[in-house]
Amino acid sequence: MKYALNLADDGRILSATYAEFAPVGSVMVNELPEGNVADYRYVNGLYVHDPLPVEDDHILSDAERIAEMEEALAMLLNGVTE
Amino acid sequence: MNLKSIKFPGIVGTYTLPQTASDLDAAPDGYGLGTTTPEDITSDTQLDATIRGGFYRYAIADSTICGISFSLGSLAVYPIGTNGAVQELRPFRTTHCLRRYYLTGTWSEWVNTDTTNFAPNGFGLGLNTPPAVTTTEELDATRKCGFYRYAISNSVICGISFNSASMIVYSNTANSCVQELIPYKTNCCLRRNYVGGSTNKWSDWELVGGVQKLLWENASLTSDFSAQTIALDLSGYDAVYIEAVRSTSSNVVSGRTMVSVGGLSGYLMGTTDQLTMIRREVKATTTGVVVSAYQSANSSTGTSNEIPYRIYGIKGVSK
Repeated sequence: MKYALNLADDGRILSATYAEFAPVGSVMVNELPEGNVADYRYVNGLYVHDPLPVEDDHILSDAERIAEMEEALAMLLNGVTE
Repeated sequence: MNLKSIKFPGIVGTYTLPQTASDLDAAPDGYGLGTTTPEDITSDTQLDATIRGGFYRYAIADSTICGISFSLGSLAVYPIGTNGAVQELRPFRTTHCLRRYYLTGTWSEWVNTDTTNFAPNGFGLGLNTPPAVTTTEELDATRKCGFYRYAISNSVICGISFNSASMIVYSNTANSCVQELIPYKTNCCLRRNYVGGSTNKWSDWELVGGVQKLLWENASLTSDFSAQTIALDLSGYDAVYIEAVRSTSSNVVSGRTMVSVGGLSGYLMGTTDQLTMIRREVKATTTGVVVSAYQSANSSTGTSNEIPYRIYGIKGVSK
């Protein structure tokens, strides 16, 4: 099976689609790298494993959000009463 | 008159010479051989009784056999023995050959042995690969009822690009028919009609109903999806319909949205695995779909949730 890569300017793989959907001029490959393709750059026909630095992708849970809001509310009430 | 007394073993008599074919009940002249107008067969009873070898003229008015309507035909009978024969009937002004056989008092059903211009094998009926139409001239000339394979590469009709299509022709009269195309891998239908006679022209193609065509599919749903533009030719579409899966670790379709091509942005709305609401902004232009990173309800951003899965082109809706 063939794939078409959507690459950033530095060769970072942004996404991959199947050959039948490849736009004209796409970079075509026979195989995708294993795992997260966004961890690779495609340079000179080779995959270079180059994971991006892990960003804080943490999403607060409902309990955490409620705790945050309660804390903010407490601070607000303190400001009003003091 | 040339009278001669001739003798055969056991037979003595006076005969007229020369004998004619009909005198002898033999060809030429007998049973149609050597004549332009052989004996007429004018009734079904007479037809059923005709089992002696020879050539006849079928003249039973308003006949319909194997779907072929005719009133005149050429009939040949091939005898096998006193209890067997084959009749071959060729309706006048057609290429059809109708055949049946006789066996000890019973005739078989008629069959049409000419399949070159007659269903089921003619006109695509019952075939996996029906006759191909490969040029626009051939397409314009295809006006007989049947199933065909449209095979004109790089076609663009009503904004739909395709190389092949299933094609049906509905004929009304010799001067009136309809062509329908269903381009490969689409669910759309293109239709036009022909009016012959003094008009003698095809109408413009029209898109029947809407169209939805899969234009893109993510080949790695377990990978992060950062902000990017997915290059697509959307010039022939009014809108795109986008599906997304929840996350790189949970590939269930969760977010769906439809945005106009060249119109305002829309959002793929979904939730994280912890059910926190998130959204990705998406925008469609004639050259592709712009997808942002996702943003959660608390304004954090990321790339591992609400992963675009499929993009469909939509035609036939308001922009």
